[in-house]
Amino acid sequence: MTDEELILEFQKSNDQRAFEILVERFKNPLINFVFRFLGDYETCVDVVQDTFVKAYRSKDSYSSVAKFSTWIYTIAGNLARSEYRRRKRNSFFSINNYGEEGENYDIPDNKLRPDVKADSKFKAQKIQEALMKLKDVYREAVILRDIQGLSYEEIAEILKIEEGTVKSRINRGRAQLQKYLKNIYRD
Amino acid sequence: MEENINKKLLDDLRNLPKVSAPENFDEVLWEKIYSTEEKKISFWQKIFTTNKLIPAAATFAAVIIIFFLIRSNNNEYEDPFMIEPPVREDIITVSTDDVGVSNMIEQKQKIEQQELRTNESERSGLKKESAKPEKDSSLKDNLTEPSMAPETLSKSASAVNDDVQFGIDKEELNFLKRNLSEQKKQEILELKRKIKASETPKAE
Repeated sequence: MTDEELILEFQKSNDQRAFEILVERFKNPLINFVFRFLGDYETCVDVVQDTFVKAYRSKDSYSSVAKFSTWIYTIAGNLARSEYRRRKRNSFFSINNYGEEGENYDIPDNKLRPDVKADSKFKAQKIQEALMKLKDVYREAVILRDIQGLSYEEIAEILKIEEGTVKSRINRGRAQLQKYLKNIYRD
Repeated sequence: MEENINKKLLDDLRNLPKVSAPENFDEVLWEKIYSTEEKKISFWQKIFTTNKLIPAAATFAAVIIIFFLIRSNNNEYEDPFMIEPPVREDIITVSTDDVGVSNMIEQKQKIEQQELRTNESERSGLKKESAKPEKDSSLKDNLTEPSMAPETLSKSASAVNDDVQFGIDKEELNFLKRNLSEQKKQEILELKRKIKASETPKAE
């Protein structure tokens, strides 16, 4: 059964088995997406769970015209964005109390600690750090395209923007990412 | 622009280690789903939560304090309705001197009396003059008598006019003048006699 058939089944007969299958299919891609966006595993798990709770409770708001994947990614993106802003506000107040004015601090990521020795892990950590430095609109577009592998059309639908805007955001995001990672990618 | 981006970077992004959900993900999810189903809070419960009530109460208290502060400050200012109105200087001088006021009133009364007297004398003079036309009115009554001839009428009318001294002659008036022949005059007289003759039996 396709995702759309499953959600329609869940809508019509409140079949929880159908919903469980959807959770099984989408929990890992959503965790990956939200983790790359927020940079914190525990928070990302909470956000993805909240995404499924929201989808469960407001199943009737899904329209069969759209793809289920875009619908669930839209919910996850919205929740991730609001969580990111909330964290940003909190970090602004908590970090700036200790640091000098105008100095930027990266919130430490417990899952990707700098003491990890392996090269691939080190690179992944640096990429994640660079991703976190990007503006959230660029980061979201780059993650959806280059990490999640979604099409421009799908991204446009998820972010509710034009396809051209999606492309420009992705290109800008990539350029900035390359700038931040110039020590790794010199050639 | 994609060409300028290092392909290695794009490959690394694609091959980033996939983060997967924890083992207890589903359990926690279903717990959350069921707990939110149980916790169907009503609208009033949402409003009257302590988290919302405390700031609301604080705001309300602040508003009341501000209101009373403003009100107490207002009492320091003079009430515009209690301020005495500004008085003109000339009125002040009169009001302070009672003798002056009484003199002014007496003078005014005298002036008014003098004016009244002069008016009365003027009126009496006018009455005397108007007495003459009363005498003339008897003449006018005579004029209306039918026995009088038109010639005498004109004469008496001219006499009245002379007495009144209006100085307006009959000729000066813009009457339509007709020059009748002797024959026509006699015809008119005859007609008048006939009319008189017809009127006298009716009166009897």
